[in-house]
Amino acid sequence: MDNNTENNIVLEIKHLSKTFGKNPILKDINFNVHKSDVTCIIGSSGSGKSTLLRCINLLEFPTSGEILYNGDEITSNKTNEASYRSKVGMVFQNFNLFNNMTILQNCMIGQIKVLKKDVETSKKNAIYYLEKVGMAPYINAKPRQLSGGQKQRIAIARALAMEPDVLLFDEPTSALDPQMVNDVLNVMKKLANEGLTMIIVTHEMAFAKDVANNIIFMANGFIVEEGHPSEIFVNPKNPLTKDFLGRFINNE
Amino acid sequence: MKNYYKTKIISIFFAFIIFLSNTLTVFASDIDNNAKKTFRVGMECGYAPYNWTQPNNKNGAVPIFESSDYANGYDVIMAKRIADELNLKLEIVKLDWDSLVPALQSGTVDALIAGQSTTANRKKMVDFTEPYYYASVVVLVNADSKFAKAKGISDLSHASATSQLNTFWYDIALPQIPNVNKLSAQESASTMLAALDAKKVDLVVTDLPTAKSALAAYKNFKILDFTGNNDNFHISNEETNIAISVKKGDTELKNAINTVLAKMDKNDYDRIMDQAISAQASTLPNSFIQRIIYILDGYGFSFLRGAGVTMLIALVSTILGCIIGFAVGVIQATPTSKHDPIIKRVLLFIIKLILNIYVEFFRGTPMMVQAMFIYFGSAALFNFNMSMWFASFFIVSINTGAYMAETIRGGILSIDPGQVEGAKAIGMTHVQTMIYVIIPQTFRNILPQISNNLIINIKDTCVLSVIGTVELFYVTKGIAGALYTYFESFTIVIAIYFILTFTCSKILRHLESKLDGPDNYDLATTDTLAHTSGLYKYSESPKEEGL
Repeated sequence: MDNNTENNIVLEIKHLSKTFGKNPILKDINFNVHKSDVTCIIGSSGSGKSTLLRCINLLEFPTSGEILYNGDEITSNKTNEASYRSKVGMVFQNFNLFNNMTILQNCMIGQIKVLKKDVETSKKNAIYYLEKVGMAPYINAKPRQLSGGQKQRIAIARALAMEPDVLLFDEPTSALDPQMVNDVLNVMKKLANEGLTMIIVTHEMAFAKDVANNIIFMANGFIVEEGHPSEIFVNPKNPLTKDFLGRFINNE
Repeated sequence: MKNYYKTKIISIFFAFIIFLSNTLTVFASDIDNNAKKTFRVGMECGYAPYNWTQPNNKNGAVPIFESSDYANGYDVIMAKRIADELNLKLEIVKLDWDSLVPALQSGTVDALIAGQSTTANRKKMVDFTEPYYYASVVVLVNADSKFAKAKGISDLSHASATSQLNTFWYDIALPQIPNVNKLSAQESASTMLAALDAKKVDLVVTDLPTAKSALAAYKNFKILDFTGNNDNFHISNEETNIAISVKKGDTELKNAINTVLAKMDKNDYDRIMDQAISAQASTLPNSFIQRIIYILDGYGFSFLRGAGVTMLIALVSTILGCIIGFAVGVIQATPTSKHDPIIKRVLLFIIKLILNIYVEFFRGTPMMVQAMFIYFGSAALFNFNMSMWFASFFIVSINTGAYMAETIRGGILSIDPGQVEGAKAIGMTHVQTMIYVIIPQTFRNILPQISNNLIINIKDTCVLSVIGTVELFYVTKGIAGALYTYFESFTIVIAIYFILTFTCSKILRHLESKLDGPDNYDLATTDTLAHTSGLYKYSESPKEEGL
């Protein structure tokens, strides 16, 4: 980790666990996210990566443990979930663009209704971020008229338009065909270079290695190994990590 | 004369309401003691020559309450005479036959001059004045029928016959014909005559005035009157005596009417009846097409007004129903989580329970029964005399709302949960998510169902005829009853209904495609983006980087 100062901690996950019915999905998860960190969470399907991300955004409520955002406990009942989420945005595997709105409206509605910005400012802002993801010409289109890669870039623009402190990505490229994957990853890389704090659940190992400054490897609901990509990808310590990364490392 | 026995179920039902009203409220009739009192008279206005509806005030017709049509006929002439003699202001209230007695009991009208015969059953429900007409029973046949030369009822042996439902013609007179082939009863006099005209039956049993009127519309009919002959129907006076009814216990009004009737005798009655029959004045043409033109010429405006009322009720009620449905559906689809405060959860549970009862009750009972219950029940139970209009809009809206609530709840549940998560992820509250994301999409998805409901409402408003709403079907029944042109009138009205529903379905289909927007989109030009130029820091296009 590059930024080790205590002050820079944005998110602190402490002893977080989550069970669905009797199935434990997350078990005693602990990790910190510093400002401008790019944290990639990797692991096989069913290891609890997505659930972890959804707990951080309170889309799922943790069974126990704490999540501290800028030092404030947010899992208590008093937390205003909506205002917290406006600062910790999320990009989904299936984009979740609002089907009843145009692209521009998709990127404006949150600014107007949640951040209470005026229409003109919201529009400028929306177009600024749509340009950033290369989708500005499509402002008049409806989501159903666009391809997956285009939709995902717009979903990123929508999240960025809220100007969040942290942006969570839940397998953003898993529903895309290989050509479009690069379009989306390039946008994300750009954001990383710009210093946006991101937590990314991904299967794109090359991207993780390239962009992340912290890798979390999960299996069976535990964090098995955590560290800088140069350690995890080059010299994994845990046999589970080695096994998981085996194919990828061989392909390199 | 038309002498229905009281329809049993309805009478039990209203006996129950009356029982409640006796225990709960003061009778409405005790309250009014104004100077110039109104005399509200209930009748069907669809039963020539006793009472019928006409579009103008020709031949001394009287305006119908809450309608722009006029009533005329024997009953109207008698009502006018009574009102004049008693110095009362006459109001004719048009009601369905089955609604007459409930309307009297609930105080909606003061008296019924509707050709009721003084049956024992009915005497339990209302008080009768002295008779105001004596109606002898006759037989109607087609003139070319083999029964046309019958000299007595024994000559009618083995004939197939029918009459009107719940009348003594059908229940008492008709079975006296030896070996008669008694077919099921017809709903109204006009359908009974239509059946005879179509030769579905050999003969119908009815009374002399009805038969005389029928001859105006059906020139091929012949009246067989066996009066004075021993080989005739044996009917008690109770059945043939036709009297005016007032609310049970209203002796004051009963005596007042009796003093007026005492000044007339049987000859006066026959003269007035002949006057009514000639006022009905049928110069009906003979061919089907000409009759349709004749009806449209005379009653075209009435049809249009009826269609207007039908459309107004259907449209307004569908819109109100959708609003109710959305409100209920959204609340029903509100999720509760364990993290919500207990008060919120309990409150939501109770509200959902109440809404559930509302939906199940109104979906689970016929709208016609609800109409009777709410319209007459509100007067009898709570002394609240709601207007026919209010009742109509209320009943159809609340019904549509119950159906729409389920449609909308289902519509909300069918929206991809990702839409909610997408909205949550940018910090929108549940209410904002509903208003800006979920409801617009639900609305689009259920638009075909809304259009379905509108079409159903256009057709189903016809059940409001039971409370006397002057919508299209009610108007048509009135016209068919006034002219005895059953088939012609309903040919016209079926065309009108189809035009209404077809037009609505096309308009809504158009709205659907409009809501979907164009299939293509325009790429934004530099102009649209001009005001952001300069803000754009990352001008290099995304490179293909080897990953």
